[in-house]
Amino acid sequence: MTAASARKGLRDRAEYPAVYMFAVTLVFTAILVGLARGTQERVEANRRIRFERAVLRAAGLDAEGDVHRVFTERLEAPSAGTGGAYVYRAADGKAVYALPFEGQGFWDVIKGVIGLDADGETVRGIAFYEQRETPGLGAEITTPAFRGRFEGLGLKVGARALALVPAGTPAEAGEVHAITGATQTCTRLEKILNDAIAAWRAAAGDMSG
Amino acid sequence: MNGKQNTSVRGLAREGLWDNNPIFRQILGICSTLAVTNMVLNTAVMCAALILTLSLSSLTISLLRALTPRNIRMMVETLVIAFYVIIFDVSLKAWWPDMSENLGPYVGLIITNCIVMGRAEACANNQSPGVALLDGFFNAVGYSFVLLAIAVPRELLGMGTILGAAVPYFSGPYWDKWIIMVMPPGAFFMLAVAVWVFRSWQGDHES
Repeated sequence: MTAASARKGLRDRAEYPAVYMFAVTLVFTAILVGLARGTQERVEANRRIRFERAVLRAAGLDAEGDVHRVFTERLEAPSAGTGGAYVYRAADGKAVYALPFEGQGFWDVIKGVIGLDADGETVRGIAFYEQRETPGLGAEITTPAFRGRFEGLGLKVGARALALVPAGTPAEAGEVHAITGATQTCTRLEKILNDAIAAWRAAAGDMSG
Repeated sequence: MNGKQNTSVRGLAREGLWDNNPIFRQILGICSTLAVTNMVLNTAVMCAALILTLSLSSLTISLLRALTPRNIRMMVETLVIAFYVIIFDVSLKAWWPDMSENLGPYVGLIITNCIVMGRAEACANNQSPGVALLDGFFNAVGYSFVLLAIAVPRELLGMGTILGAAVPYFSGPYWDKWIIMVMPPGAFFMLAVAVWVFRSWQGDHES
């Protein structure tokens, strides 16, 4: 029997497709597993940096490129007394609370951080580190233009600390202009923020009382 | 494709880019055309992903074609396509996390992009590796330029920017932004306009 006919014989066997598929899958999957393992640390670090940058931005610190160092040096991790928020002590001794929040957006969970003054009445800043809203519409919440609308915002007392109102209408205290065309994202974001702020105020109230 | 395929570089380029363009001639891969064309940068990265995936998967499928049993070839094709797409996806996550966030699930959805499977079936399955690679490459480029032709007006009319940079007049107060252009319905309008324009330009070859 020649080599060629022996190979032909092998390929004619009923189990050949199964064996072949198994072998091909094994090879390709092994390479992918290797790649995923190799980049795992990087991916993890990227995620961590995204979060840390969001905390810094919310607290009003912008440290591009040096995020991790500034984060570890300047921020205090959440403790029992902060209601889950990171604490940043500004030069004048005033504390800023960077409160992580998350909740269901239009497509997927929106995760972010909001910076609040110690009295819980003024917003310092807001930043997002995970969202899958529509690019160009809901995803505009991550742009400096939208985030800037929160800086210095005075919050109201009660369960509805802030409201997102349609662009073009006058915004009163505790009101921020929403993004046109992204009503779903904005409505949900408003709820996420109000829930987070209410929970934080309750925790902070417990601490002082 | 009329019977015998022209396998010269020029012939393959002409087929993939123009005569048999995947978008306006074959109407394949429309799902991603609709999904990722509201921002030019996202579109460009998506196109780069497709060019890499389609070229390499066509090459690999062609290399394996003598060994692959006919009856399980589509399983093998899907595996090869998924392999390259995942490599691209993981690489983006590791080295360009912001873009990975922007594109969300769309990179992964290249696996189900009909163009990739279509070229594997129509060409890579029965052509030599060199021809398959070029065929994949030119089809992907043909897909890419139509996508960019759809993305540029969408971002410009809808947001007044190109690649995120403000364009004079369109970003100013005199231009009332066409929000619908960056929303999903805008993609349907622009796709239809693109197909119409390109087909009219091409003249009607079918008779």
